Amino acid sequence: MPRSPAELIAKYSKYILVLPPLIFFILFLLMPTIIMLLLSFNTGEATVFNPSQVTIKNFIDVLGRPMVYKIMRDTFGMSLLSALVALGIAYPIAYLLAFKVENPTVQSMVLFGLLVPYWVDWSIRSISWLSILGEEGLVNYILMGLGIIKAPLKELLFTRLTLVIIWVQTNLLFMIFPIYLSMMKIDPDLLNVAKTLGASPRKAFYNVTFKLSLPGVIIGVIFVFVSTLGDYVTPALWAGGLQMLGLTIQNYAWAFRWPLAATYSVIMLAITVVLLYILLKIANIKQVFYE
Amino acid sequence: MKDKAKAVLTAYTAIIIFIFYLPLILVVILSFKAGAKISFPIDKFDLYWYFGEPGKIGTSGFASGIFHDPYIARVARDSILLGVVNGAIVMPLVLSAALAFRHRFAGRDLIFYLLLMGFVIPAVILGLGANLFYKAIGIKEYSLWTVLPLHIVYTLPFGLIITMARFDPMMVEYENAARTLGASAWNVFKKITFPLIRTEAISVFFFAFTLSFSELLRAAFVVGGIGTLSTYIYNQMSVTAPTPKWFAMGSVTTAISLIILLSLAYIMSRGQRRAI
Repeated sequence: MPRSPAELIAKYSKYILVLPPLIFFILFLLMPTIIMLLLSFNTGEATVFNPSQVTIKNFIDVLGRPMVYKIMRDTFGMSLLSALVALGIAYPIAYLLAFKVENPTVQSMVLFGLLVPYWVDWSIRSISWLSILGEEGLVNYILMGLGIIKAPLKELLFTRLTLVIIWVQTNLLFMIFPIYLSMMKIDPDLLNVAKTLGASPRKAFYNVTFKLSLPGVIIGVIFVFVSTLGDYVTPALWAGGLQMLGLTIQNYAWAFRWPLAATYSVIMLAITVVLLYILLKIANIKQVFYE
Repeated sequence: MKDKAKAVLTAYTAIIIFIFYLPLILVVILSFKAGAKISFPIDKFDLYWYFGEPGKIGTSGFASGIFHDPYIARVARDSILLGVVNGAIVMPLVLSAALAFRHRFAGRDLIFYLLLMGFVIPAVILGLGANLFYKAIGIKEYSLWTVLPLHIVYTLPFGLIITMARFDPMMVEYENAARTLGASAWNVFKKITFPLIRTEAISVFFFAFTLSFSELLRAAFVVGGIGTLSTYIYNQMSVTAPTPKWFAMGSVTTAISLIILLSLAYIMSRGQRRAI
């Protein structure tokens, strides 16, 4: 039974500490989501929820369109593909940083260095792809200069492949970081024990390193997956007219069809939450952060 | 054998990091290109997109160099200001939440997942939600500061996971020891906790600044006035063809960010040395 003020503060400090961010997130994350959910049951160009005009017409309309299912497949398919490609590319880098680079200063410098490309503004970075993959871009210039191709490749931009390249490049940081963090938590003794007990390097890697880095892998996949899901600009600029859910939501919002934009958002969020739930079943991500 | 694996991995990482840097490298190179097209080959370099034509100060936004464009100076300054304020608010919120999560309490998992949702909720949904939220509570005039809450929600989770993953597991023991020896709550924080989490605090600030500064998708839904750098250029992109002018801008803001962050890191690390 704590008596002194110091003991009381120590006992209740966790509640006091968690309260400011919690209140902020209830206000600016939970409330907006609830308001959006409510508005999806109104129609037309309504901007504020009107309880007397509740209807599920939007949902019936949207889910009745065959196009919507193609858009959903494209959206979730492309995002998941980008997340998996990013995982394949990022994993060896995180492994190198966590296990092969002993000097912590070098580690921090590489990680800090990964931030620098983000100081070029989002829009400018997006335009820069024209100078890399465009008909008069760097890749075509080099390939033609080397005599590998005669005419510039037009398929580098405005295809599905373009979208995957840009999404992977843009989101690599969000994959490398969680994997690196979970690898840093692996006790090096475990690997030695596995080897002493006669595990082959491949087996030791799979059973110790890979399995223990799985929470980081899952977090990385989730981060890249959702970052690309929410992106409505890159598909519009570089994916050659590929229709995506995010783009659909933005188009309706820009046309003041707020309730319909909200309906698409609610559907997208519902599918996302189900997919996240499945991903979280694969590994216990909390173990990276607290007991 | 082992060194060979490391060499292969290092070479691989170097190539990937080069590709990762490629947009930045091209932005810097092409910003010095003469002419209006962002393409190769580069025939001639000049400073037109920085300073405009010598002796002729541009009045219209598009034709002149960035240093003579009154809008650009304003949006760049606003974006940097937004990033710094965002970092300054996110840092204490992250530390506060991360310190609380070390202890068990009712609803801990639920609150942890709620905070993570700030990053995990798709950008377009967070933007739309905030826009509708402002409409519902009667805010009609958007500004730079209506973007701030969104950026806090978006950048806090990433800072939180970096901080929590790197906490010293012994920290709670040290704190308990100090408390048992009679240290006040404030002294425990000042003498034990804060020195142990100072590095995390600095990285949280860097990440929060960086993610906020280059954010477009969420801000586009709730920004007012001429906007942030990102939303301003995004709007310009829909009316004019891209020129190396934007690349000049990207080069300058990168240089400014680099200077600000390196001097901050320097100041903070000096403070650290003095404390020890």
